[in-house]
Amino acid sequence: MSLHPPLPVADEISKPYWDGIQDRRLLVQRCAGCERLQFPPDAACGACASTELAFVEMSGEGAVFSFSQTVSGARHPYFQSISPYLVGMVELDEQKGLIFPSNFPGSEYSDLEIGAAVKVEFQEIANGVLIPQFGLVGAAGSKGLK
Amino acid sequence: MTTSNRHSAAFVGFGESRVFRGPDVPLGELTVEASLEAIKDAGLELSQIDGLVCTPDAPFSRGRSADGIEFVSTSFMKNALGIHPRWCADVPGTIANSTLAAIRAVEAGECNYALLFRALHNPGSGKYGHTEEKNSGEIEMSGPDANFAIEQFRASYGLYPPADGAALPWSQYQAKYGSGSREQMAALVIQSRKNGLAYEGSYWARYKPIELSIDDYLNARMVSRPVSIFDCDIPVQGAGAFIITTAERAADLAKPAAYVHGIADGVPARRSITVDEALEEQMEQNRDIGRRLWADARCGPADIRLANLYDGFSIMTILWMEAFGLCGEGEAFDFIQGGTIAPSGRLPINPSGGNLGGGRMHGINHLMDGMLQVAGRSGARQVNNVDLAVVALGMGWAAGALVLGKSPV
Repeated sequence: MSLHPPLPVADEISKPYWDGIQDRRLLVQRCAGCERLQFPPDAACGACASTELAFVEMSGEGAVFSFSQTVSGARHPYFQSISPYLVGMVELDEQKGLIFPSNFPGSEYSDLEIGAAVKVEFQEIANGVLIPQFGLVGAAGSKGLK
Repeated sequence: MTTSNRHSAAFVGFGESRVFRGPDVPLGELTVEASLEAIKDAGLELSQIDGLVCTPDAPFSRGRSADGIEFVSTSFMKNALGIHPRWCADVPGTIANSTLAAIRAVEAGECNYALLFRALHNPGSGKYGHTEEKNSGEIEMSGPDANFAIEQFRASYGLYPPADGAALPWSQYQAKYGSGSREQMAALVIQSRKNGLAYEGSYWARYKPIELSIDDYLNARMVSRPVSIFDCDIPVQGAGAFIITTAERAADLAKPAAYVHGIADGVPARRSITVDEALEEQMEQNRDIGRRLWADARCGPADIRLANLYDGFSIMTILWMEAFGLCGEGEAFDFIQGGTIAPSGRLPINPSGGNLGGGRMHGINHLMDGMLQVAGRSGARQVNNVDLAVVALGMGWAAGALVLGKSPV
C-alpha cells in the first residue's frame, strides 16, 4: 500500500469522529439544546449555537444523494492511478441534510441512482487507517474504489 | 418602472491585457497594461486615480506566491503606477467582492475614481490546484483556503470541489427535474464559444478561432460525469481593469457610462462538506442574492434585457438563470434551446462569451460585457435596446451580482 489516498488529519473538534471511525463506528454530533445532528463536527450547533455537543452513533443507513464519476483531472497520484472512479454524497436516514462523501465501493456508474439505499462500511486506505464508505445495499462490496 | 435612488456609482472605463495560456508575460506587466487601458478608456489622467481595489487571491499556486508573478496586489500596482491613492483594498474572494467594494467606496466618497483590477495567473504546467496532496498522507495547503479544515472529510475520497462541485449538483438536477442532459447543455456551451469568438480579446478568438460542433461537445473528454472538458473554462493568464466613479463625475466624461442600479453580496453557507456540491444549497445561496438584488435595484427579471451569468462551469449559468427567475426552476435547459440566449434572442446570455467562450478570466468578461452593453459600446456585439443588464459573478459566498443600467438612477 505504498500509493494511497490522502489521509485524514484530525483536529481538536473532529478527533472523536475519527477515533470512532477507527473503531468502525459512525459518530456525529448531537446538540443537547435542539437535538439536531451535525456533520461535519463543528465548535457549535449550526442551528441554535449551543456548544453542548455529544457524539452519537448512526445506523449507517442512507441513500445516494448525488454522484459522479471522475474520469480525468484527478490531481492526486493515487486517484490518477485508479481513474475512472466513482464519487458522490449520501444522505443518512437519521436526518435530512446529514451528508457524507462516498466512493460507492463495488458499484459501477450505471448502477447509481439518486435515492438508492446505501449502508456504511469501513475501508482501510492505508496501514490501519479507516474511512467510512457507503455501498449500495445489495452491491458486492469491494476493497477497491472502482 | 421605478428604480433605486440608493446608488450613485458608474462604470466609466474598461481595459484588458493580452491573454495567454500560460505565464508568457509577467502578470504584473499585464495588469499595468490593462489598467492604463482602462484609465485611457475613461479619458482620465493617471494622477486622477485615487482608489485602488482588487481581489489578489490566486485561484491556485504551488507553494510560491510572489506579488506581480502569481498574484497582483494594490501595493504592487500603487508602486508600478507611481500613484498616491487615498483608498486601497485587497478584498478576498472573487472579482465580485472587490467590485462591490469599489462601488461602495465611490458611493461613500472614499475616493473619486477607483481603479478595480483583477489578475489571473496560470502556471501553465498542468498543475492547477489550490489543494495539493502529498502521498505522505498529509494534505498540504499551498494557497489560502478558508475551507482547509473541511478537506479532512473529503480529500481521502478523491473529491475535488471545482469539477465535482459542478458534477454533483448537475446529477441532482437531472434526477429532480428529469431534464439537463448533455444534449441539452450543448446549446449553452456552443453558443458561448460562438459569442467568445466575436470578442477579439478572448482566448479562443486569439488562438483557436473555431466554433464548437455538437459532435465536438458530445464526444468531449469527460472530467467528472456529466461535466466534460468543454463544460469547464480554459485556464489563462491575463488581467482586466475597470474605472468606477460617481454618476455625477461620469457626466463630465466623453464616453457613455454604465450606471449601478443594484448590488447584492453572497454570504457564507452553513459549514458543510457539501457547500460546493449540493444543488439546493447552491440554489438557495443564489436565490438569496437574487431577492436582495431585485429589491435593491427596484426591478425584476422581466425588466432585464440581457444577462451575464458566471460560467466557470456550464451548470453554474443554468443555476443563476433559475435562481434569478429569468426562467422557471427546472426549465432552464428547455429555455436555452432554439436561439433564445443568442445575442439576437429574447434573453442574450454572456454575449461576449463569458468564461466558457472567453477563457478563465474569473468574471472580467461578464462585468465588461454588462458594462459595455448598457453603455451602448459593444460594437459588433451590441444587443439592441439594452436598458438594464444583470451580472452575476462567482458562486456561493464569493459571489456577487449587479444590475447595470443605461441611465443614471
